[in-house]
Amino acid sequence: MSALEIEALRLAEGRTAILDGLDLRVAPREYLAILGPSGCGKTTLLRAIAGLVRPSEGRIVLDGEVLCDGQRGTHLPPERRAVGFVFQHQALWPHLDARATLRFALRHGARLRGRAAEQRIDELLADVQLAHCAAKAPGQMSGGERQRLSIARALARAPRILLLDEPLGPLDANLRRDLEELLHALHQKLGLVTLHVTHDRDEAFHGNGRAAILRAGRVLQVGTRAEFLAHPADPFVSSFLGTT
Amino acid sequence: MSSLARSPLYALLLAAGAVFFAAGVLAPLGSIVVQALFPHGSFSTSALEAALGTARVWELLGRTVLLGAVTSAIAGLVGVAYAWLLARTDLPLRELWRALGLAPIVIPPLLLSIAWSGWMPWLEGLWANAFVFSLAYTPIVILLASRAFEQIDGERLDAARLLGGERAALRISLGLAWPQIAIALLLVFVFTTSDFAVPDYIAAMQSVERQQLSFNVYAGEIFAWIKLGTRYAEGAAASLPLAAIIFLALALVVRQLRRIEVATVGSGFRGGPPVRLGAWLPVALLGMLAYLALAFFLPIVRFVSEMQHVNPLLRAMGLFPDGSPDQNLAPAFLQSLKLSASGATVAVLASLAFAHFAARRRKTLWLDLLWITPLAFPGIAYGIGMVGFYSTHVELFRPIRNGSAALIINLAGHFLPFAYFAIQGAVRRTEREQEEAALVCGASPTAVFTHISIPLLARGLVAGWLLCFLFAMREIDSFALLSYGESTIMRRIYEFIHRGRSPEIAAGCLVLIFFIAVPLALHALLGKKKVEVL
Repeated sequence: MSALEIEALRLAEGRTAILDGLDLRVAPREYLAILGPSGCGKTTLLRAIAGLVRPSEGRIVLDGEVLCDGQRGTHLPPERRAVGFVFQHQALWPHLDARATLRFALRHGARLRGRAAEQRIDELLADVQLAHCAAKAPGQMSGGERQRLSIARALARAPRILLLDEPLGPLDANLRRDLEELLHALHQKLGLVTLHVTHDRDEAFHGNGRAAILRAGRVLQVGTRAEFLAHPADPFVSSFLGTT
Repeated sequence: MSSLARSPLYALLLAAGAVFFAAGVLAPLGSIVVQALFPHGSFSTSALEAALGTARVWELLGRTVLLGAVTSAIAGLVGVAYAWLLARTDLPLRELWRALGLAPIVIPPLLLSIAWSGWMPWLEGLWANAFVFSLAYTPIVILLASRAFEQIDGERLDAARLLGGERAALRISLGLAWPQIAIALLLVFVFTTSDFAVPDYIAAMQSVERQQLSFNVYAGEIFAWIKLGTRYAEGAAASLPLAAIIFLALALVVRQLRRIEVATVGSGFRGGPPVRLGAWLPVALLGMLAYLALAFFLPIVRFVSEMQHVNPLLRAMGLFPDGSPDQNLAPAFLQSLKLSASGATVAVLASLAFAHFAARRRKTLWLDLLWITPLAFPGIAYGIGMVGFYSTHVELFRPIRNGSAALIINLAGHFLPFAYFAIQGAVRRTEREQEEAALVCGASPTAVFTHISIPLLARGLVAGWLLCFLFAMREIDSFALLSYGESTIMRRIYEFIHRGRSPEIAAGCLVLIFFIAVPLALHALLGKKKVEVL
């Protein structure tokens, strides 16, 4: 039984196919890295799952609920998908401090207000080790703090799936390591299905997890590092992972 | 769809914007075309032939284009130099110079021409007009060019410096800032060619013999058809060639707007090190002071000296008990403030959703061109359109044409592009992902629009409102045709000054400058507490 099922997903911009019949299955509680060269459709895949773009064909099913079905014209709007999304450039709101950001997310995503919301905000800030920044606006935070706030915001609505779009990209090596640990610790604690887009091979195979390799809008292969080394699906996979 | 168009509030604003665009832009502009082509209810070229069939008309058009080009060139040279000194050098007291450089924008061109005809009564001809207009519009170049210079990444200039020193860096700076500079020059051209009050006033100040040789411009020709027998059809027909030329300039503005490269979040942007002025500092300061003296200080000194005493100021404000009703300008000030504030508010509300929609979608060039069209028609032509449409026999329009509603529609419709493009610029500077993040958080499109989009666009909304307000307070041309417009302060000053100079007019000019300056100064002060941009 898969938590996330994606079948024959197609999405084009003009005449260019961004997703070209993409299939993917993700098990419950799985942390799956999405790996591939620039322009292969990694971010678009996450945006399609979140409902921010509308595929022309194919299906996305999450926990048995059809989020999108090109054939039937079904397309659940993003605010009703219960998805957590960490954007590549964070997309924080400069006019709201950390507490106000989470208050907004809880009010609209989890219908939590008042004391219950404030209590949940404290928990979220503690989860991402950001309690000291509660009153800070994004512009007053470091890059790592902003990324932690972005993660807390994604978790605020108690999502069914967490989508991470190159969450470690803009950070230096030490911060990357800390945040990587934080993400995996949160995954252990919450057990959320997580898709982590990256172009970094070491990041993709952290903790011997599985990764899916994309090329030209299709999934070429899904597996662990050992499986890729032992049975690469084609020469591109070998060359991309540097095993040839 | 993930778009905010699913929000009922957004859809309502789009609908309201469309209705206003139809009533405040399409109706008057359509009326101009209908009057020109159907002067007697059926198609006829008689109005076009009468208005455009003489060599004089085309000579005036050429003369007006020349005035626009000369003014743009002068304002460009002064403004770009001033902006470069502000943005890229180690000029001391930079913020003070920036505020002073923009200060002349609060003096309407007509008031500048009144002040300078006081200092130099012999002012006349092409160069006199170009002198006044370039003083008035140089702040536009300073504003846009300095912002463009400040947005240039220091590494790009370093790369040029390594190849050819400061001269190469300057050439690269000018190249990178060119889209904004081009926009500023085109806007100067548009405002100059649209104006008729300044050339009309400068010509009127000459002796009767000299007036035969005076420098008339095309917008004056449009007004002449109305003044010489209310021939609206010929006036409308006459406005079309000038509108076509200005529209071409505005289309280039739209094209350049889309080329501007904005320093974006996470781009690793850093400003370059300032150029050391060294021994050139006194020369630079002298040049800047000379511009400020001509464009700001001397006109203010002129009005203060003509006022002679504080009493005219008190009379103008209605605070002096023995002032005659003619000297009390307070009702006219209040009327102008009310109309300008209302017009600006309507323009911002009508533009908000459309500007957001256009910025977030692809292939919306047509929408930009449509929304910039009102500026293509000079104020006097816009007035013809307003009168033509709202004086039809439709009973529904009677309350509109007889009250201040016509003036508010006129101001909001004519200056709508300022609000539209200011808001659109603000939308383009925010990330689409900031709205998407809120949607993914579970917020409804309406909540995203009200809690995320509008606060992020606050500065654009304020800037759009202020621009509309600024130009509405200066408006005079279209009000010449709308009877209710006689009660505005610009109309009162325009009428009084043609009867001769007086301390009361000087006082009125000073108070008008003050009322225009206050909201801009407040914005400048409060704007220092900038919204954090990552």
